[in-house]
Amino acid sequence: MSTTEPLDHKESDETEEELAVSVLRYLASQVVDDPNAINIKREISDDGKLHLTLQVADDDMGKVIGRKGRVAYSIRTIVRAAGAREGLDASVEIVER
Amino acid sequence: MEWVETTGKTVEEAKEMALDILGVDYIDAEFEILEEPKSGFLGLSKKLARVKARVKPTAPRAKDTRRPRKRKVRDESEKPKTVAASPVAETTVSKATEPTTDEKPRSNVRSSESGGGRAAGKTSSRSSNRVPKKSSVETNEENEPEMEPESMSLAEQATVAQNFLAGILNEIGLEGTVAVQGIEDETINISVTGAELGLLIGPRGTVLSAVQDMTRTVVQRNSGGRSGRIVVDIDGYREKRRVALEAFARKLAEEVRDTGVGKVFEAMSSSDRKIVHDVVGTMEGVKTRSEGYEPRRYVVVEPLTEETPEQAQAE
Repeated sequence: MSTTEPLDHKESDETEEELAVSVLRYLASQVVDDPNAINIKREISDDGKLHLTLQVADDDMGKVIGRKGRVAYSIRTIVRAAGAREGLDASVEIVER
Repeated sequence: MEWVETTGKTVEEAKEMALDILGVDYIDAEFEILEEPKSGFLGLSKKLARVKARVKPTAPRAKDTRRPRKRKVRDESEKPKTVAASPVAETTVSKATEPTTDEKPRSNVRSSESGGGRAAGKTSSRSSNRVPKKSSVETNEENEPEMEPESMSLAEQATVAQNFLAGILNEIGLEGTVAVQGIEDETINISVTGAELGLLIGPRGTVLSAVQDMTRTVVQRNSGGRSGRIVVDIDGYREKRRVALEAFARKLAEEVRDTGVGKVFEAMSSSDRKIVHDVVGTMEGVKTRSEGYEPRRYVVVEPLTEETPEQAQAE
């Protein structure tokens, strides 16, 4: 029931995904109990910014946010750096299911 | 571990003061509140908050009670630190390896351990680490606790950290080497070296800090909450930063001493503040203190004048 939903890929899948997305998935998967419940939505706004939305299992919310939001901050910082490698301005939002 | 005692208007302030002295992050410190602050009648008299703090020890003693009767079998295998510090393990990430499996980043990572540090004298009990079933009675003691996540050895924690970092490089598509530099004083030092790693350092080391925090989070998760301190360095950034910061602090302190006018540093991490406190602390005629709250806490350098009224009173 909780499966990883594929991103909107054009035709070829592996090469399409931005680094920021795969890095976000990797980081999230390293801290949650239920990696299969990780869901990432991506959206590119008109000004070319990459907005990522991360959802995890309810019980894992605290883990991706961390004490005083520290884990969330680290994730955002690293994902932004990964985005920058491809010239993208990437942001991450963590939302409840 | 040494305890330090600090005071402040609030408990929080006293704690931050202690972090400056210890030079570690909040989560690496252990606090004991000695006294809550009290404000007297109409706030006219005040009693400061007092706390005691130290660097959090990593190996809780309580664990020893689990197998009391086997205790006397232990001999030299008792010192985990020597085991941990000697072999320099290296993990190399190379993009050239086949991209067949994408959901398992570790498959791209070759992990090799050079047993170099083993040359002298001691017999290697570490080589049997990987095969718990075959290990002889002598090494039994050493292997058993590793099955329980909460008593993960520092060497194992280092490996978890190493794999995690190699995974980041792999995901971002950077080539580099992740090496465990050593484990001392319950601190795991890991270095990442390679080309184009400036991205992972970021302006003023912000990304590096995030990478380090994240590494610690992952290790703690894998080790059941307890972990050693973890220091990650990328391309020697921390060392360069320390040298530059020391020089800058010295220059600023000289200015303060010469002009008699205090100066303020920009906000820094507790480890950076400690560097400043330490270097200015060795100089005559100036003193430092920290102000503000994390993460915007900063160091103030002031001229030290002998005949301030407060000091005269204190005598």
